[in-house]
Amino acid sequence: MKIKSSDLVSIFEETLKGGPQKSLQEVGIVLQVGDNVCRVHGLRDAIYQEVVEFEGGNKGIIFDLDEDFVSIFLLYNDPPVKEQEIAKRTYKTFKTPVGTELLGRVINAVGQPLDSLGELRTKEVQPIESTIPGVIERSPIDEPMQTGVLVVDALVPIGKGQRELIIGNRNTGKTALAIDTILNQRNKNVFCVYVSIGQRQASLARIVQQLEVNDALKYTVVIGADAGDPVLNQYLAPYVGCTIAEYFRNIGKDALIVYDNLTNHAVAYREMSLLMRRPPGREAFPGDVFYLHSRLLERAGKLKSGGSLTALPIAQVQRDDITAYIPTNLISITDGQIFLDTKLFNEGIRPAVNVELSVSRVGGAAQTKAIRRVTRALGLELAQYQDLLAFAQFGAELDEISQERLKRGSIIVQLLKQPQYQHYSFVDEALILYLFKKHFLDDVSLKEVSNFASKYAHYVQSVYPNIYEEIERDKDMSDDLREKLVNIAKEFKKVFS
Amino acid sequence: MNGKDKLAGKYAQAFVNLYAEKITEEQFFNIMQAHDILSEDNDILLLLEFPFVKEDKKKFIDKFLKKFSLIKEFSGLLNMLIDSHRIVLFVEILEFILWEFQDHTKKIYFDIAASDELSKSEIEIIKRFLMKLSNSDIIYKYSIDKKLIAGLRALSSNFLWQYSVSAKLQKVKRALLEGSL
Repeated sequence: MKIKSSDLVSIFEETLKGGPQKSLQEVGIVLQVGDNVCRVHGLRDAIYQEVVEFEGGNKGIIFDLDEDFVSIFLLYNDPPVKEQEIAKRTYKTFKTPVGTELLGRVINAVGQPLDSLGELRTKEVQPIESTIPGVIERSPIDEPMQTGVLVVDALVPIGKGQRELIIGNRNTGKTALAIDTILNQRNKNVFCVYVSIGQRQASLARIVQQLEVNDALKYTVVIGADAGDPVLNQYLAPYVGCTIAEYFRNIGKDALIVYDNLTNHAVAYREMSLLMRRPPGREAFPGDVFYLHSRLLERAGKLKSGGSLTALPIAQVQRDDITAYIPTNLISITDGQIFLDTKLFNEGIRPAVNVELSVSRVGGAAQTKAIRRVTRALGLELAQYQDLLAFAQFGAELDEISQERLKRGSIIVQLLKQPQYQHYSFVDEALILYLFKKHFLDDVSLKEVSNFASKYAHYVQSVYPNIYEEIERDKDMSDDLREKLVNIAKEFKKVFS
Repeated sequence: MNGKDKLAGKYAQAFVNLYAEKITEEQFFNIMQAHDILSEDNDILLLLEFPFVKEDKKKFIDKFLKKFSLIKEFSGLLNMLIDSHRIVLFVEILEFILWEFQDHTKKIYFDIAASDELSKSEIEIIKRFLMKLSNSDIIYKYSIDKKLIAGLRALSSNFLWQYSVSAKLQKVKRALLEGSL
């Protein structure tokens, strides 16, 4: 850290200004330290989650108030806390810096910069645990949060203010989907917060680089609590991220937060609880692990005052088992889930969204009319295709209708494949799906389906900008416009072939 | 609080309930001295549980009580702990007795450290000052601590009052590390 001479002088002056204490300071004595937790005797009137300062310079947060002791988790690994050291009350709970000054920054859970852009210049700090907005303050979710990923926007739509869980095995593209959603918010006036919990530093560095390269860091705040950080930081990171996102929401902006991932967060809290000797429950998680996540995710929502906070928590499962403790908790808390399937991923279907197991409970109402018009029967067609596919694998002879459905199904599967970092606008999505709905893709070879569809969207945008803008403006496709689109599709087909 | 601490706390509470009148301020400091020495080497007490030291056990307890001028009631406590194989709790029990004594008598023990030697009258002023701040009677031990550089520090198990150059420097150090005061 660079210290300016003027800083030094002002700090000295400020320090010398203070006279002697006018009252006794409440303190405690450290009796035991280990695994980043210490037990302190004293601090008799301390409150739950109060920040405590140690004489050596370290800080901690009170997590357990016992009859004669308090259990304090340390915020930093250094300087070490010693036995018999004095712990002082601060009479404050933990606060984090907030503000638009944080955009483009990478910070840790205790508000220190992890990037090389120097000190944070924020003017405000806010407590990380705040009152959750009540029913009266909230408004229904009726605006789409476009992910730019066709399969999600069409079949599992997300609304602004929604909490949509992204769940799947490791290496199924969970983070990629979340990052794609952040990248798609460019020029959409949505502020994003990405919280990395218990991951490798290399993974976080790669994500930051992706955001930077794609010009998304300027509207994003990254909070990192990697696996090497004290367990308390991993516990705090999502709350810190949420507080920062809430700041954006409270100033009337739309915010998007990604928690990557809450399974690691639950594991960190389990470690803390076991160190505090709280009784372990199912899978050794403490009894309040549900509340740990419910109070975090309940902070998302759309407010009548204007702002919204959309949460995309990520959960990692093992062997596609979504019935494990933490995944079921998160599924029940959130407004839907996007299940990413290892089998689909290995078959090359990416994003590997398992449409049957994925659901969006409130997003449908937020879908634009243009998209809703063209996706009505899409889910059904896909489900019928999956059923028939299993049947066809036995070598059974199928009737014409079934064969047609199989063909249509294979087309839509191809159509929903989408490379990472390639996003569609909702107009593109509506145009592409309308093409499918009107059977213009039926005679296109499977290899060419995606290419054909995206080129068609470009064609409409460049040759018929009026139509493109009309859909963008009205967020709907009128009867007249749909007729025109059919003619344009015919025209494009001639050009393309 | 773990099981061991809880048990030690119960023993201490029972001891203070029974012999509160016999634990004087002087006795309080004797217990503190015994506690400080035994904390350094707790293993010595474990030897008392071995069968071959049966004969010497009484001698040890008598010498121990005499050395620290502890009341004879501690002999009963020590024997009971040896018999129930809980002698390992003795140091914790002493610590709890010190806290229990303060609770029982509503007196707060302060460790007063000054950078320079203080006169009796100065100490008396400090005592009255601390009594006023804590709103209760106090007992204290006074020592000289050159590390303070200049100033005074009074520490109890729950409260701290300090005004010293070393504390100011610590504050400056922390402010420089954190970037603000």
